Amino acid sequence: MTTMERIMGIFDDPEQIVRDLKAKGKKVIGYRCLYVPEEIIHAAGMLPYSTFGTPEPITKADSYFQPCACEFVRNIFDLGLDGKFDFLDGLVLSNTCDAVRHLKNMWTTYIGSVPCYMLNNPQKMYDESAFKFYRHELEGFKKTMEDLSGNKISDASLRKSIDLYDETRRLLKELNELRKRDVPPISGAEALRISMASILMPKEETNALLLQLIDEVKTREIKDADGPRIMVTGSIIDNPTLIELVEDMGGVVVADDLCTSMKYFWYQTKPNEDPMDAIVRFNLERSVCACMHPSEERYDFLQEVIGGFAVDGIIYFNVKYCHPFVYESATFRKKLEEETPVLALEVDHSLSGLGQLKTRVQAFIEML
Amino acid sequence: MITAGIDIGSLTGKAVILKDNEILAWNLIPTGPDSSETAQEVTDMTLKGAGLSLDDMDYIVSTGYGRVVVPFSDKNITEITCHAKGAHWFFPGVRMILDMGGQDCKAIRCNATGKVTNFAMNDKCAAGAGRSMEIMADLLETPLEKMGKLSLDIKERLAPLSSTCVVFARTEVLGHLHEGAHKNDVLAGACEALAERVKSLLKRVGIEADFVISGGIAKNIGVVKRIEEKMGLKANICFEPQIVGALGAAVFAREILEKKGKRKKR
Repeated sequence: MTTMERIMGIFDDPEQIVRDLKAKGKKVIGYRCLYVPEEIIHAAGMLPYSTFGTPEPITKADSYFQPCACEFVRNIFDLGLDGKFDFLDGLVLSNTCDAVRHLKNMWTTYIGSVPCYMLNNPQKMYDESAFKFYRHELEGFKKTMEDLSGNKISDASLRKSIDLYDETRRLLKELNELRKRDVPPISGAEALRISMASILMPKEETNALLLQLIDEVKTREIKDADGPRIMVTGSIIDNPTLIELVEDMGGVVVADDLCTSMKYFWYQTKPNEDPMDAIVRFNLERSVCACMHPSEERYDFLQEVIGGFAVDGIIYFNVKYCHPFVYESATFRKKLEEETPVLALEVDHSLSGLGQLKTRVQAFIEML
Repeated sequence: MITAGIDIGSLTGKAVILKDNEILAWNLIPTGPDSSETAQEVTDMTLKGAGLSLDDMDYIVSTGYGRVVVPFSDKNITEITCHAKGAHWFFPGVRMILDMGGQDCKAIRCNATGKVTNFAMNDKCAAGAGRSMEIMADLLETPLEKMGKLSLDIKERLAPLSSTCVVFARTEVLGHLHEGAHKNDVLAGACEALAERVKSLLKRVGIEADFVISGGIAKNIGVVKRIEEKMGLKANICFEPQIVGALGAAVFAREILEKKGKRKKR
């Protein structure tokens, strides 16, 4: 089996990781989203496990939420009601948007089996008072993780965890750099699968596999690389089908701005003597979500990617009803369009109505 | 060289046969449950009209929502790209196209060569498209083709229909009728609402003065007049606005052949 096949296998059945580790007595902590420091969970000897959604239609959650509520959150709540996350020893949510805040309330009210913790991350970046507040908040989170695991987190163990995660981010970025080539070695859909599998796996394993994978794909070339080079952006995209759709229509997806992919590994922590402060700065000096303020940094990131990966066109996938991204795309789109064509699409998280979506994507690619 | 464009829309299947740059024949029929059968049927009819057979076609491009199921097509291109091409063929100065089809509306901007530079489409549901007008016509027992004319002959100006959902719009229409409103006034409300929605769609791509309307609703004078009034623009409409997409596809077929510089063996 190639390393690529192995990683794809993990993507297809990520719970295999959990089953093995749980059998050995390891605790698993679900989390959403990138603003939850996995390093602290890891340093307490537990596995941080990103709760992604599924493409299945929402059933039970619709008895609780209005259909205009964020589809991703409804999907996660649905899975929770169905007991799909019962293997978790806890769920940590971060204060990113109204939808997630209310997911916390709903979860605590209706899903008692898995305790849920809300981590309050400030949304104003580069702000001294936010640094102080967040440091205090993280101390509380650290204490909670220590109590849950029964393990003390020392500065040294936290430092080790940070280094481990930085290495994952570095390796993913190194792999991703290969997509700058005229003919990329991996497709956009593969890249998303690799990234999501890497996020889910224990990082010790991820890093070993990524080292092999980089070597394995170095000489690889994807087929059909003649089409326009596309960057995909928007709210949470945890289903490669959307990327595949763009590629089936003749686009070559070379980059993205997704928290499930490039936004996960684009930044590293900065050197800091205090590992807790390193995390504070990491989360409040990078912008990986439209919920953060100011938004200029995300715009600069987009520009850097457009130039670096020679992007010909941008496709915005706005998952219904993700307000932070809908508002942000309205402001970014105007500026982006001055140099690069943009197609903004509204999509269902469960990916219904793909026919109309295909027509728009194909027409956009024909236009480029 | 002889090329064909086949446009399988949600409600109508269209075919155009082009000899060099001249329309030899065209046809349109309702789309049946089997789109590839519709494609076959409309193509056969059109070929018959021109006294040709499928073997005489040098290249065939399919378009429309059924573009991938046309069994004998050489290439498929979206209706967005084809409408711009077709509109440009009829009116070479065109810069903005409004295609009002059965299931959706598209606002398209193009450059001097008819190449798309921007487009916007109404969202998923058929509100404000041909299907919803059919339902209104049916509800008011008015032949579709008379709808536009009647909507211009009104007694009282009602507020435009406010519901985008066709099902709700029906309820709204029934409400008006129960209150004794005249049929024409209600029709006017439906046309007015559609024109209003279309205007915001056009604004999304950027308004241009050289303007073409294509698709079935271009035949509804009530909608067209209201769009023209709201936009302060005169719309160009060709002799058969429903074949613009199929014609664009046939023009693409010709251009592809010219580029390749050789005839395709069928």
